[in-house]
Amino acid sequence: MRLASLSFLYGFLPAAWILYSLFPKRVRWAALLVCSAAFCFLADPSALLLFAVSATVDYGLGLWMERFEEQNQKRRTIMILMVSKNLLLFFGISIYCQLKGLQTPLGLSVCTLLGTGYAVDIYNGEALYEHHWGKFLLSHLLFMKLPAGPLVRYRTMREQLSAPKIHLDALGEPICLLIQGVAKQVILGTPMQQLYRTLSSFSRADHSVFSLWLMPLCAAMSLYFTLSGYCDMARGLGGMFGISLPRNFYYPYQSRSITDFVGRFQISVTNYLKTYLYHPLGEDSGGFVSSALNISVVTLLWGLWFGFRINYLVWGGYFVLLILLERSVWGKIMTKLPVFFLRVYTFALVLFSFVIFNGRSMAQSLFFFRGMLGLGNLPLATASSLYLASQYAFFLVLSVLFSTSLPHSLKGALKKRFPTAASLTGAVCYGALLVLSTGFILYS
Amino acid sequence: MRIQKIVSCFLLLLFFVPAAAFGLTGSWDALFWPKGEDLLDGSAAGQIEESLVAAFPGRDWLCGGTAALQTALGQNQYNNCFYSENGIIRNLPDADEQITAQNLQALQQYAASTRSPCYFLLCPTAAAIEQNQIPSLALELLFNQKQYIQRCYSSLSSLVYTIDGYNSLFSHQSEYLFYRTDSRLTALGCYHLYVSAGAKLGYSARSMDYFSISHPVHDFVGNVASLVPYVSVQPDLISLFHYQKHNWTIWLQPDPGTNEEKIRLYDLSQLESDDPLRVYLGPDCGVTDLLIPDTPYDGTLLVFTDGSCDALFPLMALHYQQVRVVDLNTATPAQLSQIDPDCFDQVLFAFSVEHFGYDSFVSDALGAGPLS
Repeated sequence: MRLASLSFLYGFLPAAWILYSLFPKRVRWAALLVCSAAFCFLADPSALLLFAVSATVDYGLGLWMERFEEQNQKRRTIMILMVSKNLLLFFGISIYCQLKGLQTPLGLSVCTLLGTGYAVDIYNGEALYEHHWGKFLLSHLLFMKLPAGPLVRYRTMREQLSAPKIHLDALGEPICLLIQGVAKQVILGTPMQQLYRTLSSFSRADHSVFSLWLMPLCAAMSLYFTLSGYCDMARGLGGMFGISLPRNFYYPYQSRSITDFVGRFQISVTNYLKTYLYHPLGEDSGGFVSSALNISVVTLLWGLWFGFRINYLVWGGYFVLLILLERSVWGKIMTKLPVFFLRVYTFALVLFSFVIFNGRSMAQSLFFFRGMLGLGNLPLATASSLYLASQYAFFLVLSVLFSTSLPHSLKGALKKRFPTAASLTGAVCYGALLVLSTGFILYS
Repeated sequence: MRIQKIVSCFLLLLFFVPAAAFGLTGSWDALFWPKGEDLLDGSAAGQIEESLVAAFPGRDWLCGGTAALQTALGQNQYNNCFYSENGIIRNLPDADEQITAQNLQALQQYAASTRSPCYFLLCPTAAAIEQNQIPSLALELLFNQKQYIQRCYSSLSSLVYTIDGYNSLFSHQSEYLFYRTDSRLTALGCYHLYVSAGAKLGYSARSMDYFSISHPVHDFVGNVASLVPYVSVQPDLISLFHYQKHNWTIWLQPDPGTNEEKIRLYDLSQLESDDPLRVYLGPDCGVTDLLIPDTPYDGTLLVFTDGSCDALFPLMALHYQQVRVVDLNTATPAQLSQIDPDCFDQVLFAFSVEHFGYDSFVSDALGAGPLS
């Protein structure tokens, strides 16, 4: 079951919300657990079994660790056992699925990395041992974050699951966020993906400089609107069920440097890696070589978050190189340059990165690089690429516009100036957006 | 605070509207309710979604609105079809070279094994002829049918005479040659093919003045319309060419050799069938004879076709005593085995690029003949 599907939006969601509201506050977590288990079962029955067993093992090992409060050696062994089990599940299943061409179980990364974080947190004393199996299981299975995160630390989840609050007057904003997420995916993400697929089916001879620039632009927009759409939906759904989830993207395509971009793109993954890897490794404290090494490890893993392909590893490596260059070579010059220039510089480098990200092989990525720079003896533009661009021109412009903070700022300004009118008009607009998104889902 | 409550309630209620509509119309039965095995094999969610999409309240209105919006925003291509108010033109992918070679080889072998002269007419589709209706920038994306037809023709030996349908249609490209909602040729398109085929087959085509034209159907929606649903395209006319010069009656003998009754040409009852274009050759029975008892001509013609230009054969029948039309898509092996090409004076292969380049029906069917 997908979040941006009719069966979820008009079937599962209303039923789950009614069930949740009917339960007394004290046991709402149980209603949410039932709903989450049902969602997981409908989406991927084997995943439900896997996560339930994995979470139960983590729960049991956590309680066992608690018994050895004074024996650090034993606690460390148990922590290593928990971390190893979760990482083995994550890497093992991901690699197996990739080799066999199978779909990775829904929520595998979210569940296993939550378990890993829990193990480290209770070992470090940064989280309390969980004594409630149901709530612990719920934190793993929470349906809104299963498809694509965001990655949340266990201790953050624990506080919220103990007393989730919903107020009717505070529901508007999360519902708007949910609708926004659906719209991002189906109105902007899908057309960009379609255009990207058509362009990538071109043979080398059919390509032009224009089509080679258009391709990473579509890939970048498609990835952003699909992933941030998922995150908006998760946050919106979280709000509807009284759970606050963090944002995963903060207008990454208007970043002023590559370092800034990495901090704005998949924020929860970056934060997770910083918490559990970058900080324990010593951050920037050990001189240039040590900090360069730390940045490299974290950024390479950030790249591998998307899958186990050589291109994703190189993609991470590309960002490592740029971050290090920004830190040690041209970082100081950048502070003196105009903001517009910095945004163009960052966006261009990000577009280049998507050539690596999407290439079927490194050889293909190299061909695209050369072509984009005008070194491939390719025509500037071909009629077919111009035709395709004209077909999707409106969606392209809209995608670029909505990947910036401009619409949000405009909305904020209107809300500040005319609060009542903005609320009412906003509700009507979001209602229309839901109808339009439904039309797009049906038509596709 | 009150406004926030109103806004929240309004937005929340939107998610309950479809369920309420299902409840009010009592159409819950249209939805898929999963059973144990569907749930266990993980297919339940997909099946629920499919049934919901099919039965969603206001589906046509929502899809129509989305299609109209996308068209207004500049899109005119969907499902590999170009569309406008003037019609839907299906773009073909590059032809399958292996299938083409197999079909050509089958055709060649058939021609080599018969004493009767063989003719080959490969018809282009609307995408090749009505290029003025396709955005100029998109022309590069089109499969080059002209080149493909030339390549097919040149690969055949001198045993097969080729008929140039492409240029005869292209020279009349502004006329109503193809249906707006169907990939097949209209009666007028077939008339132009009839004229150009005459020079090769050896008859003198009748001019348009010899025919009266009737239009029994004004709202025909053909097989391409379903590829671009919810796009408003003007429906088509079905035209019938009636020969007026002589008082001849053209009879159709469906499935000759059986006890099927003869019927007059243009069986109007077919207009009510699932494919109204069967009006030209009668019921879908694989093999049909066109006969004119009073004709002064004594020639016979055997036609192998794919159903793409059925309106052509009633016109050709004016020059023969018997025209046997074999639809290779529907003729059974038993029917094919009874056909002896040597009993006919001429053999015509008339196919559309749309089928010939992508489907091995020619090699499959002709392999079942007595001469293979």
